[in-house]
Order: sequence, then structure tokens, then C-alpha cells
Amino acid sequence: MGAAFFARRVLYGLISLVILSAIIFACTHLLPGDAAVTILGEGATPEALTALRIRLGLDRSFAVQYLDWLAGIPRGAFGTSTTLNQPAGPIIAERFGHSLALAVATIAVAGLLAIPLGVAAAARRGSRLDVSILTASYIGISIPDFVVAPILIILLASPPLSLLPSSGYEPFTKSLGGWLAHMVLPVIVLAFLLIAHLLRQTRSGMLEVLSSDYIRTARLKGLPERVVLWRHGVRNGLGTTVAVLALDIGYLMGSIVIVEEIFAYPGLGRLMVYSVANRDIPLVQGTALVIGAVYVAANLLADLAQAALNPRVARS
Amino acid sequence: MPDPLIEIRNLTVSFAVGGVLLPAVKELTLTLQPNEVVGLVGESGSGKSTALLAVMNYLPGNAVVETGSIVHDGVDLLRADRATLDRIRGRRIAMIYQDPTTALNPAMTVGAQIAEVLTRHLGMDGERARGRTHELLGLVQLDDPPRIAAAFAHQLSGGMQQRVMIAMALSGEPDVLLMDEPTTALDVIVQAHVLELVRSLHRQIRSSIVFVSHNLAAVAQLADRIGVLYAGELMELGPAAQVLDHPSNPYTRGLIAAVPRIATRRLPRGIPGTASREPLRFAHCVFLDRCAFAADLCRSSRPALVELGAGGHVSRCHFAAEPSRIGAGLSDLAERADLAERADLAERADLAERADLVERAEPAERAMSAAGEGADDAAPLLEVSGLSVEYRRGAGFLGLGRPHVVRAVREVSLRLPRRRVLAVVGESGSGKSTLARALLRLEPKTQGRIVFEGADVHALDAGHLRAYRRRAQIVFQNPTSSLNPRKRVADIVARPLVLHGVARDDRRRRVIATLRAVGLTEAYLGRFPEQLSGGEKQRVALARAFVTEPLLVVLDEPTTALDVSVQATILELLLEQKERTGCAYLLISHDLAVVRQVADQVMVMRDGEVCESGAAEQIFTRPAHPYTRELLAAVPDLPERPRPETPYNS
Amino acid sequence: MSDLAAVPAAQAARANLYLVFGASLTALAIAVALLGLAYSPYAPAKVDLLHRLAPPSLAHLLGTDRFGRDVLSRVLAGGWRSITLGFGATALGLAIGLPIALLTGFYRGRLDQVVMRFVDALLSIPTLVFALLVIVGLGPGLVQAVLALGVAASPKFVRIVRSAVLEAAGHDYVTAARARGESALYIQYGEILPAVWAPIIVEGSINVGFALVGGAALSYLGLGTQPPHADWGVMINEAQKYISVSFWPLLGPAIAICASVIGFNLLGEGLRDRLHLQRSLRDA
Repeated sequence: MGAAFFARRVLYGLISLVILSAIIFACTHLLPGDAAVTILGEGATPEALTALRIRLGLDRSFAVQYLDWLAGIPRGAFGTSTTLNQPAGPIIAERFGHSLALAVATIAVAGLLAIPLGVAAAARRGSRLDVSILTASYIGISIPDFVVAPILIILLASPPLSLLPSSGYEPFTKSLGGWLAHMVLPVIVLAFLLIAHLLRQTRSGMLEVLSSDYIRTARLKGLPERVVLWRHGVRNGLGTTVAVLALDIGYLMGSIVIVEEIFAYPGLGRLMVYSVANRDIPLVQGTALVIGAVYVAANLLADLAQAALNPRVARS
Repeated sequence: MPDPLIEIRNLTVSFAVGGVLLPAVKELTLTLQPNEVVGLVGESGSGKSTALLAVMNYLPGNAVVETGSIVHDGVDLLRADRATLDRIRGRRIAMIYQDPTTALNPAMTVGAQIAEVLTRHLGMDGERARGRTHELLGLVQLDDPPRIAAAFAHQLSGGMQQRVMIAMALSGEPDVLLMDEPTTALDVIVQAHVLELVRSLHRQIRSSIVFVSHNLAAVAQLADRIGVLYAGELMELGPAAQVLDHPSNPYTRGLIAAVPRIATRRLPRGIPGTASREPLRFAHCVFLDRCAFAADLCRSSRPALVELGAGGHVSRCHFAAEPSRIGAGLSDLAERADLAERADLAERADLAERADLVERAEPAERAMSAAGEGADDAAPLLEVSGLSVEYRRGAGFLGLGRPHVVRAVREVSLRLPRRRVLAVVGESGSGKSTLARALLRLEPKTQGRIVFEGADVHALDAGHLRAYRRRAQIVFQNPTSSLNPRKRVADIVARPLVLHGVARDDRRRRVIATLRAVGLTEAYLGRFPEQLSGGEKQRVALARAFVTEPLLVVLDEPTTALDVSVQATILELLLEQKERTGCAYLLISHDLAVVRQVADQVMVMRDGEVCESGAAEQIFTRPAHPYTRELLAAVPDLPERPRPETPYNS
Repeated sequence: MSDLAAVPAAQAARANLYLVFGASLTALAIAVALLGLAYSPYAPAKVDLLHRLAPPSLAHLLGTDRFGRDVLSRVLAGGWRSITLGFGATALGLAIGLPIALLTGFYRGRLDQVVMRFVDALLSIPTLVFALLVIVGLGPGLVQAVLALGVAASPKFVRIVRSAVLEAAGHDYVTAARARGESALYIQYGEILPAVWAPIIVEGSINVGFALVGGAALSYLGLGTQPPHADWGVMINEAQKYISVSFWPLLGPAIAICASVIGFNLLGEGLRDRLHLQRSLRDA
């Protein structure tokens, strides 16, 4: 896998991000609704509105506003939050850190559980293990997080058990135990859905690999099934799994919005909801962009991992 | 006689589909002796691949072995457990597959894939395995074995991949090699090399080989004994020379007659009808509805294998011992036109009658073309000069970047008079298909002149362009891909008429007439493509092309995807249509034997350029260009004379 | 292989099972929705402060919520909103995505490259976040939620339909149509579209379920249907705070949502298996 491949993929990623930023900006500025009116209310005087518009830079042309915003991003300047009257950048950065912790923990848990189970289900297709795994994953996909969460809260975070806090956050600098405790329930809820998803994708990816001709060749060379599965099967199947994992990170970001809201966990998701509800445009833009960037970065990593695993991919 | 290596006894394998058991192999009995090559020939649905996989006991989940056993070295392979099979597979019995690209693991080097057999079965350590791998790669005539061993499958050409597969199969030093259509996916010249390789390896290594193929001519190059399968049943089995020279089964005869011969220009005779899709079981002869010699006995009882002489030649036919009853043998057919036989046949089968008509028309036509191209020179239907077609591979990123330009066709010129067949032959990558598409304005980056009926095709106005589309049609290779699965036959064939504004009543009339011309009845109007066989689908595709009464039909490998017996009937059909309507054909093909039968003129292409072109007879009998000679030499053909004696065909 | 392709009997049976369950559940969900439009035991907004957070009884089959409103009635009333949202968003997503997919799949080349870069960028935003972006501009509400979720679903449809279109366009019947001189419009809608219905229907059914959940999520966050209108997402939000007292107000809408989603998912999966099965039998 050469430098050319790497460079091309990074370039694709950057271009995607730029397009993304344009879309986000367009969404928030071209849709009906005047930010100034939203902030000051319907009854505001025309002079106050105009003054606010100038202060927010809304009187300039669309293109100028966009480029101005875009130019600030590499510096970490996302504009100023209209509701909190602080620079948006640091707020987003802090929240990003919290969400990242959740995401990493969720992916680790989900990956460790789902991938081996998915491989096992595919290897023993049609068996009781496979059927029960399939069924469980169906149920898992179908139960929304805002249903799972309250149930878990009843069970674990309310009397009589009260094992875990039902909301909030504690920085790990203050208390490691507290920090972890506040993460457990959100991670369980997030992992629940992610495991179901990942399980199905891993299983179907492996099934496809196991039905391919080179698996037949391997078996008919007299290799025992164990070797066929791991040396020939998983090597190829892993590529698809990695790609799916990247997709699931995007999925995860979506779930994070709801879950953080339910558990009042101060992450990007909660920030997103808050800023949308209050029409804080700079915050909305910045948060959305960061969320999208996480997905793009995940995809890039997945592409690179796939190329390392499967030399044929590295040519493209 | 020494102990047989593999004994297949009374094997019946069926598939459970939708609650019904459909038999794929019926009561097959076959033995494989040491140091021999057995060729198993059959068309689609014959069960030959299933039989091969059964030997390895690698049948799909819904396969049911109803009866029989397959014994190797005292072990019944069908009842062996996985551990036993693991010891035998790769080590005692090895397999080579049809498509080497998918049969090799894309994520492992080919050397590693060979080495793991050595490590597992022969207990070699890494160092020795590597050395032996290189030896094996040299044995299959690959240059620079270390480089190949370190390569991945996708970095090698098709021919090289297949050699790697052969090396991998040989690495376990097996007694038996099972080959499932090993050369079908390869180009003609590569195919010839691989067949030669297999032949020389067999002489060196003395493993026995079971060679499964639909290509009788290829099998005839290698086999000591030939077995013919039809609809799961063994119809005939015996020493190769005897089966080919004195076929004692109507299906074998039909098959031999259907194979196009490159040695002479004789229109092959197809077998009417199609292999039945009903699960036939044992009540009567399986070849009944297509056999020209069927009698009441055939209807009421299923024939058993009849022994003919002491050489192990058997045939499943009630009349196997009476060869005159079921027509003449290969040598007779090759030497003279058997009018009496044909007259007899004509009474029993429609298409046989049509073939008769065509054969009678042929001499006249041949005389015409021999007499002079000059007669048609005055107004060729199609004249192409300096045609070049380019491909741009990869549009770059967002339209930027440097795309890779490929010149698929370079400065090609040709002339096609009416009522003639011009065949364009070449291997893959020669540009012949691109040329065909360019003639119908399907290739955007085309340069050069294409003049049809005196008018420049690229300079036509809308009205004349529409007329061009009516008078020039194209038929494709893959019948399944050419028909929209969601449309009925009636809609498919009528669509060109709808497009050109033909009135509804007229349309219906013309559609029915065209269907009849391609041998399909009105009953087919309401059917969907998935309900049709390959041959029927191709007829529908032809009907769609003929319905506008074109003057030029471009045929891109029209019979390549079809069974040999069906292929011949389609060729007959094409020639008949040409006689009737006076259209001209541009036939694209890699199959020189087929081309020999129908072409008036031949153009040989390689890498986008014309190597040689001229009258068909000229090209075939006195080829000038070395590439043409190489191509012709590579085509396997059925032997005209009996093959030299070996212990197994005396 | 020229011999019969192997179709495991178990697979066929399972496809049928999914279809049966899926179809029944979806039918049930739709029936509930239609019923809720016309009838419910009590008016969904009828408040009864004397019987707040009551457990199920003959009078209130699913109990009452914190305002004493009958849970069953609210589930019925909210049903049509959720189902409409599911179907509406899917229809909108297809209406946007299908023509784009057909165009880019047919023309390929530069147009395709540019559009797909765009689509890829859009796909980096999770559906819910995209919907939120749209809501920022439009404000909250049911119609806005339909618009938001529909637009958010369209990139996914473009991607899925486009790959089916590419596959179909590679077949010779499309080349034959070109050779005949058919117009681009006919080829896209008359030849390619009929051949790609299968994945559209499968993905469409599955998407109805997810749009339904997405809509409920939006309402849960207070950005979809606004209280006091009955809506499953809103109901769950309101019920959450009082779980320790009574979980019935949560259970009603929760079961409704889960059952509907499972129904649509199973329907989609059953159809997918069915159509795949048909295809492999055809190649035999």
C-alpha cells in the first residue's frame, strides 16, 4: 500500500469535509427562519434586529459568511455561541472529549462481543446458536435507545438497587470511579444497539466469505475447518467487518444524541439538541461538523485497514 | 487389471428444492483405473459437476445421496467423516476448478497457498516447502517461480492462475486429479497450452485424471476413455477411439454431429428440443423426447447399460447393439453426406428437415461466394474505413486527474456485402466486441468512417438515424443478460416495433410471425425469461433483432453461452433467416470451429488491429499471418481417424 | 455450476416465517393507526386528575398517565402520526433519491462522480443529526419531522438504488435498448426501474420502521410533534420521570413502537430473503 493510496484517501476525506461544511452551512442559513428574530423575538424593533444582524455578520453575503466561517475552522474558531455568549470552539472541544470517551468504550465493548459471536454464528449457520443470535440481534435492532434507557434506569439506577447514577457526569480528574460510574449506563444502552447491528453485519459478511470459491478450494485441499475458518475465512471477512465498523460509528453518533440527552451526559449529542432547540446557529454548525468529521475519519481508518488486510484493495 | 483407484457404484444424487427431490446424477457407475485419463462429457444439467463434487464428498447442504457409494482405497468417501476426508483431500485426490480467479484466496500469496498443502500433508517445514513450491511452479512451466510465489492471484493472468492451481493440486502428490472444466474460462491459445501441459504432466507424473467438460473436442485431446452424460445418466462409456468413431448411443451421435469442426466446412446438426427440466425418474429413456430413433420400447422401459464387445464399451440404449438402427458412425458422417439417413431423420424431426434445406442451399451459396466477391463489390452494405475506438479508464477524481487511455480498436477497415457473413475472430482483448458496438454507435469515442447503405452513419439526421436503428441490429452473447427479467416475451419482441411507431395489430402479427421464424410458438408470448431455457432465451433475443427486418445483424458471440446441441440449431436458424430476408451478418466469435461453418469472409484481430482478412476458405486452408496460424493450431478438434492404441482402448 | 443451485430448505422456510410475522405486525400497526384516527375509548386529551398513574383496569386497559389520560387511547391516537411519519418520510426519501440514482447510474461519468461525492458527504451525518439540522431551519412539528427525516433518508436511498441501477445497467438488455435508439428517459424508467424494484421495496420497508423510530426520537427530544398532541415519543418522554410510580405509561408506547419496528424489519428481511431465493433458483 503506497503513499499514493494514502494521500488519495486523505484528499478524498478532506474534500468530503469541505462539502459537508457547505451543506451544513446551507442547511442552517438557507432554511426559512431568521436567526435575529428567533433570538430577539417577534416583537423586536426593526432597529434592534438590524443591529443584531450586523453584529452577527448576517448582513454579509452568503458566500462571504461561509468562507469566513470555514477559514476559522483550522484555527479551532467556530464562531461565537449566540445563547452562551462564549466562543463556540472550546465548548465543542470539551464536549467532544466526553463523547469520545463514550464512543471508544462502546466500540470496544461492542466489538469484543459482536465480532466473535458473528463469526461463530456464520461458521455454524442454521444451528441453535446461530438462530438465537439472529433472533437476539433482530430484537436488539428494533428496540430504540429511548426505550432501553428508561428500562435500565428503572432496573439499575432507581430504588431498590440504585447501583448507578441515572444522570450527570463527573470528570475523572475528580474521581475515577465516579467518572466510570456515570458512563456505565450510557455505554450499555449504546452498546446494546451497536452489538445488534455489528453482529448481523459480521455474520452476513462472514457468510458471504464462507460461500466463496476459495473456501471450497481450501476445504478440498484437506485443511481442517478450523484452519479454513481462521486462515482463509476471517482474513477476508475481517475486511468487511472493518468497513462496517466505520459505518457503525456514524450510527453511533446518531444514538449518542438521544442517549446523552436521556442521561443528561454533557457531550456533543446533548450540545446538539440544546443548540437546535435554542437555534444557536454557530453551535449547531460546529457540532454537526465535528460529528461528521468523526465519521469521515473513521471511514479513512477503515479504508486504510482494509488495504492492509486485502492487497487487492490497495491497488484502487 | 490392477485395482481401480476410484469406484463409483450406482450413485444417485438429488437436490431438495422446495420440498421436491430433483435428481442430478442417476445410478452412475464408473471406475477410474491407475494412470488413465477419463473424460466426462455433458451439457448443462448433465450432472457432471455434481458427480465430481460427490467424489470429494463436497455437495451442497440440500443434496441427498439416495443410493450408491464411492470407494477409494477401501474407504467409502460418501460415508467418511471429516477427519478421514481431510486426510484424503489434497493428498490422495486433488481438484482443479473452472474459474481460477475466484478459486484462489485473494488475500494470500499463491506461494503460501501451495505451501500449506506441503506443510499439512507432507510434513515439510517452511524452508523445504518454499523450495518445493518453486519446483512445482517450474513444473507447470511458469517463469521465475520465486516471483510468482510471492505474487497475489490478481497480479497473474488467467492462464498463469490456472497453472498455479495445477501446481497446487499436484503438490500433495495425489493419485487422482479431478478437473472441472479447467480450460473453459481461458482464451483459445492459452487453453491449448494448458491442455498440452496437462498431457505432458500426466505422462510424467502418472496420476489418473478425471476431466469434466462440455467441450468434446478438448476432451478428445486427452482422454483414454470417454463417458457421456445426459440429464444425470451415463449414456455411453468406453475407449475414446471407439466412442468417437463408433458411437453407439443416439445422444452421443447427436452430440458428435453437433460439434462444429474446424477441419471442414460442414454445418453441424443440432439436437432438437431442450433437456427437460422435469425431474425425470426411471420410467423411460431419458433421451426420449429428443431422440430421432425413439420406439415404443424406449417409451415403456428405461434402457440398461448394454455391453458392446470386450473393451469396456457400454451404451445405455435399447438399440445399442444395432448401430444401423441408430444411424451411421462418425467416420461415415465425416466422409459422405448420408442422404438416406437424412431422409429418415426428416420424417421425425422438424429441425432436422430445416437443416436439410440449409445443407442443400449451401452448395449453391458456396458457389456464389467462390464465383466472385466481385459480383457484390459494387454496393457493399457496410463499409468501414479507419475505424478507431478509445476507452478512457477512470474519470479521475471529480473529473480531474489523468485518465488512462486504451485504444481498443485501431484503424480497422472492412466491407460487408449483402447476404454475406463476415466473421471477426480474436481472443479476449482483441477489440472485436468493441468494434461490433462501435458499428451501432454504442461507443462514444469512435473515429473513422462507417458507411451503411451508402450513407455515413455518424452524419445522419434524426429521421435517417431512426431508419438506421431499424435496419441494423445487435444480438449479444449472454441470453440471460439480454432480456429484461421483468418483461414478457411479447413485450420484449414488440418493443422495437413500438419504438418505430408500428400499429398495434400489425405489431401482433409481426411478433407472432417472427417468433415462428425462430422456432417459438404463440404459447411463449406470455412467458417471462426465467421460464425459458438458454436456447429459448437466445431465440427471443434473435426475434427481437429480426422483428424490424434488419439488413445488418451484428452477432456478438451468439452461441458461446449455449450448449453445443442447441448451438447448432441456432446456427441453422441464423442461416435460414439470412436466406429468407437477404440480410448480412457481422459475426463476432472466438470459436473458430463455429466460424468455419458459417462465414464467407473472416477477419482476424489482435490487440485492436487486423492481422489478416479475406475469404473464409482462404484463411482456414492457407493462413498467411503467424498469429492466424497459431490460433488455428490451438483449436481442439475431433479426430478424423482413430487414435493410436493404448492399453485401454483396444 | 450447470447443476441445480442449492437452496437450503431451512432458508426458504425462514424467509416465509419472517414474511408472515412481519406482514402481520405491520398490518396490525397500520390497523391500529387507522383505528386511532377514528376511534379511541376516551378522548386522548381527556384529563382525569383523580386517576393519575393508575395501573391497568377494566376502565383503562393500559392504565393512565400523569395527567390521568387513558394510555390506550393515546397510543391509538398517536399511532397514525407515527405510521404517517414512517411512510411519509420513506416516500419522500424515495421521491428524492430514486430519480437521482437513476440519473447518475445511467449517465455515469463526471455527473456520477460529483453527485456521489456529495452523497458520501451527506452520509457522514447521522440521520438524526441531519434531521436536527433541517429542524433548526424549519422549527418543530409533525410535518417538519416528515420533511426532515425524508430528506435525511434520501442519501441512503441514492446509494442503495444506485448500486442496483449500476448492476442492471451492466446487463445487455440495457445495451440493446441503447442500440435500438431508446430515449434516456425510457431506459431509466422503462427498463432499469422495473428491474430494480426488489431492493427498493426491501429497503423501503425497513426504512419505514427506522423513520418511525426517528420520528419518535425527535418527539422525545421535543422537536417533533409537540405536546399535548398524542405521540409515542412524547409519551415516553413524559412517562420517564414517573417510572418509579408506574411504568405503564411507558410500556404502552414502548410496545407499540417496538412491535411496529420489528414488524417492518421482518417484512423487509423476509422480502429480501424471498427475492434472493427467487434469484438463485432462476440461475439454476
